[in-house]
Amino acid sequence: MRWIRKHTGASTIIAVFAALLILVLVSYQTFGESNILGRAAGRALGVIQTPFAQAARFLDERFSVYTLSNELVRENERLRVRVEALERELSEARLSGADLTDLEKLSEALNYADIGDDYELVTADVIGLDRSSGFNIFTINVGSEDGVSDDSVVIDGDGLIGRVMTASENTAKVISIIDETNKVGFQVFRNLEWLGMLQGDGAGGLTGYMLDETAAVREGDRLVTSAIGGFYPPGLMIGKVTSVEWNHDSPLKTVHVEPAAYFKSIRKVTVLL
Amino acid sequence: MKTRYAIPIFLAAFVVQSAALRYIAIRDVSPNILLCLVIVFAFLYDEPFGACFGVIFGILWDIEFGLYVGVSAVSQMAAALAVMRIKRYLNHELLLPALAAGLAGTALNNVVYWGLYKLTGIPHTLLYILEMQPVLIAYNLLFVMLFHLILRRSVIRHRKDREYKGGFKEAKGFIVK
Repeated sequence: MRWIRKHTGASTIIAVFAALLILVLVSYQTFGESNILGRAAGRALGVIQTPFAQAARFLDERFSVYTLSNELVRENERLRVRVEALERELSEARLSGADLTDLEKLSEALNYADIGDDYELVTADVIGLDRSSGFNIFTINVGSEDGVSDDSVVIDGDGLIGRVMTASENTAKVISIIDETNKVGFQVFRNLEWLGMLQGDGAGGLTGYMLDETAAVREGDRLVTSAIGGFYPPGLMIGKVTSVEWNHDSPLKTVHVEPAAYFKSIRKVTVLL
Repeated sequence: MKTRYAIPIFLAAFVVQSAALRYIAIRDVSPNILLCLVIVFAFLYDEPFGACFGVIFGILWDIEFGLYVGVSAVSQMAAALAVMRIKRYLNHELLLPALAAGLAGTALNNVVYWGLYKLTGIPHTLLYILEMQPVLIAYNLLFVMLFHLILRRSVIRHRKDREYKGGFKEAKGFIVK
């Protein structure tokens, strides 16, 4: 006690450090879920952030016309390649009436259901995103008032984005699949019986393994979510296989996957309710 | 600097950081202006503004963007305390010492931040973390320079100081050696 009275400053610093480390430990134990205080802070910050985010986006859209940055050039190139690929796919996929009837029968046989049939969809704007920390965690402008809850699944036009970590009344914090330590179950679109598990590879992509060692997965195969893993409904586009490795030390095939969603320019997302 | 002025500055930095800075990202990395403010406040003022606001806004930042709450608060507090320690040997008025403090603060913040996260088992590789450091450090130093140029005029008010223009009251907390 005497030491504490004598070294007030040092004691305060040690106490604050200890309190913060306990906070980190508690947060780690609860997987980052916010309590009532955290949700209240999130709600208040959402009210402040929303108009600024809208203003920043407005300015960005106006100025980006004049300042064509390298990022935009790269994105433009990426979209051009994608449009060409889609046009090729479209020309190859023109169906005759007979093909369409066959596909409808197949769809019924597989008991296929569109995401929109099972879930309500809520569109949201990204109002907060940090690019200084290296994480792909962002805030969207919908929350529990709109029906969003913890673990709601988030997608965009390209594919699976991630899930809601914490939802306050008017905002929600979303963690992307590439930052997620939880595993995502997948199936290969070419053969839906080939199953596997994926998780972030720590460098902006995904890596995982096939559950069936005989599955002939190959580069370019598209992967969609499977029912395995818990969080995500089956059928959502995850990404494309960039390489397949066969490790002789392990019975499992390793796959490296490029996510379908383009995480660098997320602005609008859809939440499945 | 009075607390009533410091709070709006940090709040503005928080909002700008989250809402707007992603639009000026280079190679997908934007500056951490909240950390820059913590460093400059710790460097310029004798009151523990940097450490206190580092903790408060670090917790708010973690609530909004962190995987776990408290990590940014710990790392920013560590950076502020380190800067407060090394500033005793540096001239507050000059830009170069401010940049040295900015470099030390940013480096320490990142080591503590990623160190704590690595302990929790995040998937990010060391290479991925290191790849973003050059841009992040360069960007942060730019904003440390900017904030130092703006804020140093609000603290250096002694007759013997280089920036003294006359007509000011001497600041209570400022130590002139």
